[in-house]
Amino acid sequence: MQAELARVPEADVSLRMPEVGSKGEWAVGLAMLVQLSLNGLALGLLYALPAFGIALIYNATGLFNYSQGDLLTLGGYLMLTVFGVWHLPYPIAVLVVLGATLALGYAMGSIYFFPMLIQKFGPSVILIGTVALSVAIVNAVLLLWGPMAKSYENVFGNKAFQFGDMYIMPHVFWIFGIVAVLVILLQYLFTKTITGLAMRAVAQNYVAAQLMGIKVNQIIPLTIALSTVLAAISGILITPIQPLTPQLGGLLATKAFASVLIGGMGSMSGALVGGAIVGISETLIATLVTPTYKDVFTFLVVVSFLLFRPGGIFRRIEVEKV
Amino acid sequence: MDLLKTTNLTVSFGGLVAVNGLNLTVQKGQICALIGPNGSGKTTAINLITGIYVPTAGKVEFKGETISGLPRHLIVRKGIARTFQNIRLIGNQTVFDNIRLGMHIHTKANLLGVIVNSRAVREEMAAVKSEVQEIIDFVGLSKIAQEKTRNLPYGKQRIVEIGRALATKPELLLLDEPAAGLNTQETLELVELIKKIRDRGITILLIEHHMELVEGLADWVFVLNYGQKIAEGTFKDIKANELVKEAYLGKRGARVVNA
Amino acid sequence: MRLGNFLRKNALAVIALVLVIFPLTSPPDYQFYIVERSLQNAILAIGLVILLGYTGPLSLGHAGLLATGAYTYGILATKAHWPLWLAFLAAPVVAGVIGLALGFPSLRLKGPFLMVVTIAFGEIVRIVALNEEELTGGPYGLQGIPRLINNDLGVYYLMVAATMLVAIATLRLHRSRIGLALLSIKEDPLVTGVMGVDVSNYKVMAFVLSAALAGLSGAFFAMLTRYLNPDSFTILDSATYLLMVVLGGMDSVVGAILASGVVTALPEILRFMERARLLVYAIILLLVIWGPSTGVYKKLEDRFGRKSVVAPGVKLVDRG
Ligand SMILES: Nc1ncnc2c1ncn2[C@@H]1O[C@H](COP(=O)(O)OP(=O)(O)OP(=O)(O)O)[C@@H](O)[C@H]1O
Ligand SMILES: [Mg+2]
Repeated sequence: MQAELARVPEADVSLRMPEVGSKGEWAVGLAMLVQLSLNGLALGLLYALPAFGIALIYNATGLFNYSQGDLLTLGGYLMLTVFGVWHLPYPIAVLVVLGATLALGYAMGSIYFFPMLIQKFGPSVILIGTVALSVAIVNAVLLLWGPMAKSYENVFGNKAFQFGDMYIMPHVFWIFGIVAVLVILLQYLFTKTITGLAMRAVAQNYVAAQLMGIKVNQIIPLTIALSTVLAAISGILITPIQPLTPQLGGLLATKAFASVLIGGMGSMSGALVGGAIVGISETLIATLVTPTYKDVFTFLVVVSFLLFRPGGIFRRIEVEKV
Repeated sequence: MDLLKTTNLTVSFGGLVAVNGLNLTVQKGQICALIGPNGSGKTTAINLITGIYVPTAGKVEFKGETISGLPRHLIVRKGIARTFQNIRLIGNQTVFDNIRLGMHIHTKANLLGVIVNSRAVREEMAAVKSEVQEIIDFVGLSKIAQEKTRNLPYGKQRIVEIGRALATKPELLLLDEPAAGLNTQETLELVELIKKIRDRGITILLIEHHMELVEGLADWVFVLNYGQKIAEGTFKDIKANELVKEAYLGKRGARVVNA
Repeated sequence: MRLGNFLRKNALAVIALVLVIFPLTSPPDYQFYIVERSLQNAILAIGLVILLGYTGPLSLGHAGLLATGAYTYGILATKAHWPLWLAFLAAPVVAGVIGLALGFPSLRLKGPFLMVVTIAFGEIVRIVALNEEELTGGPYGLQGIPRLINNDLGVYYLMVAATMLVAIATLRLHRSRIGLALLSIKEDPLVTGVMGVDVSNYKVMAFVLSAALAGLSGAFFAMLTRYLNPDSFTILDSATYLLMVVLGGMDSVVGAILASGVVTALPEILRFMERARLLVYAIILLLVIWGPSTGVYKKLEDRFGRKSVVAPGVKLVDRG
């Protein structure tokens, strides 16, 4: 069902576009390594946003939302329509998409996640539900936008900056900048606003938060709305890197999961580091080893990482108290 | 013969040294008690003996053989069984099956035998059934053998845990506060049960806060404080020991009691 | 009520009887196909009962194991020209060996962490099947797979026999010391270890068994469709198998067989919806899962006085 993606090897062509190529296979200079790493980092930051969303939901509810990747795709497609087809000005288009996904996320949270959560279903049941949700989104996208890979104008420009031997596309810098701003905003949200503090309280201890009078029935949908918006932002930013396909989300979800597991469930910085590791290793493997099996290798990196550091980079393993 | 011997047994969690240079020697056939204030490291000591924690230093010997470092499922095979301070039964299983789990190490049926339902497997199952039934009768749970353990009252759950430990046919039984949460009647029954178990030739190491219980049962008492052994001896010796009083009551309290 | 009791006690025998008689009623082709697919799915679902229902670990990679079995049979039969029965036996063996490899992470990883490894595994299998065109036919698929018994009824009865044997073996496992150990591991691995069970061994064993059954199911899948394409082995399929187990009551073999019938029939019935089929299917799954939180099932239960369709769900993912 998600076959399209792997069948389109040029999916990440823009990542490798301005590369040296002619200098011979192993004459890959330092410049190119840096260039690849920066591209990988940009991609990784786009994994980090949905990854952080996954961590947010997990901490608040103990649940995994498999559809996170498809919400990302959905954000991208909405942008395709609002900006690429309706030609609304870019900032307004972004606001429209974020508003729509915020509403969608809140609705999902209050109609689906919250009622299931208070029914005390096992995470396995709810997880199956989110897989079904993911399939529903993918197929809705297929019906609405068709199976072909789609893209729209790259507002960040297509002319690479040149630094010595390095060529860096402008969207790479834009992604760095936007994610940096987002991190600051999130930091502000979680440390300075009542809503953010309430979200943190719910994430720490759901029951205690409820006893303290926090409206869990609103905070949990809000948490899910926030993570949906984060995924959508990623979806908006990803088009210069990858064209949109309905199945894009599946692999992205796995990589976002991988990022959050590597970084640990605890923090934004964990998701960022995890995303960076996945994005950079994927990009390097695609160029230096094999583009066909880049995902296989990336997963192997992740799996070995998990095996040698279960719990992520930042988490200390605790001895169970008996 | 020394059945159990710990030498310089030590473990630390982060900065906290929960058990510190502990030397215990348990003689075969005795009932020994391990007492001490809350947080003094009694449970941790048992966790070290049964392989739940790995000691940072020191060792545990059982019948002259070093067992520290062995995985927990092998330690029980050597003949050491235990109960848990916070009862840990398999709540979705019946009393019968919880005790049957204790028989695991004395049964052999393998996957192939189970699938073809071989004669050996059927015979083993029948044998297990009667042995489990025997234990159930011994500890006095016949009436509730088919109840799920999570539906049982606290006192019964404690007995099921003891039954499960007995099913492993231990030489040494470690009981972690078996009387905690029991009413007077249940406590009396427990005392009788523990004596019956000793009369079967099983050595017992018992953690307990009820001093009357320790006095009535224990041949030998070890006292822990802050992870270290501060005294050992018969209950009478311990009762008179200044250090022990201090540990329990503080210096001031000890003076008041003595006065 | 008497009848109900009888059915419950002899459920497996009744199912077997119905299955044996079914072809004699000369059902339409598509009905026959649905029942065949249900049987094939039931074998995998029973494997998941052993893993998820008895032992606890959650796998979203079983479609990958199904693919492993299917391609093993398909490739050995069409490309390597092995004797068919040998190819048939190889399918569960190869899947089992991969299950062994997949079982080891389960010793160190918990809940969500393990789940991601299984998702990644499923994706890897699919990507490899897509790209190794020489062997698998890649996106064009592997065609012309021969059947062990070259006749529809023969394959059908072989599958009925296999399903029943697997079911009986699993029920025997359930009541044995091994089953008890697995069930105990699910609830409290620490205590189970203290009781002398080698927890790691048993966990890996559960993985191997369920993987081997997925492989067996895969061999049957190859014989039924006679054509393999990587698109048949997605995470949706993995989730669908989980759903069969959950609907069947988590640790019930008979439940898993019945649920696999229901869940298999659904998308086939929806075929007329063409492009919207998967969307509708997914929405129905969502509703089935979401239903209980709205109290619908509670009302049904009150009315019919039977146990709830959806098991209360056991806590699998540790909240970190
Ligand atoms: N796994 C662990 N991680 C961190 N600290 C631990 C762990 N297990 C025990 N401790 C600490 O070690 C100390 C000793 O605990 P232990 O449970 O052994 O005490 P105890 O003598 O059994 O007390 P009580 O009478 O209350 O049961 C305590 O301070 C406890 O918090
Ligand atoms: Mg204790």
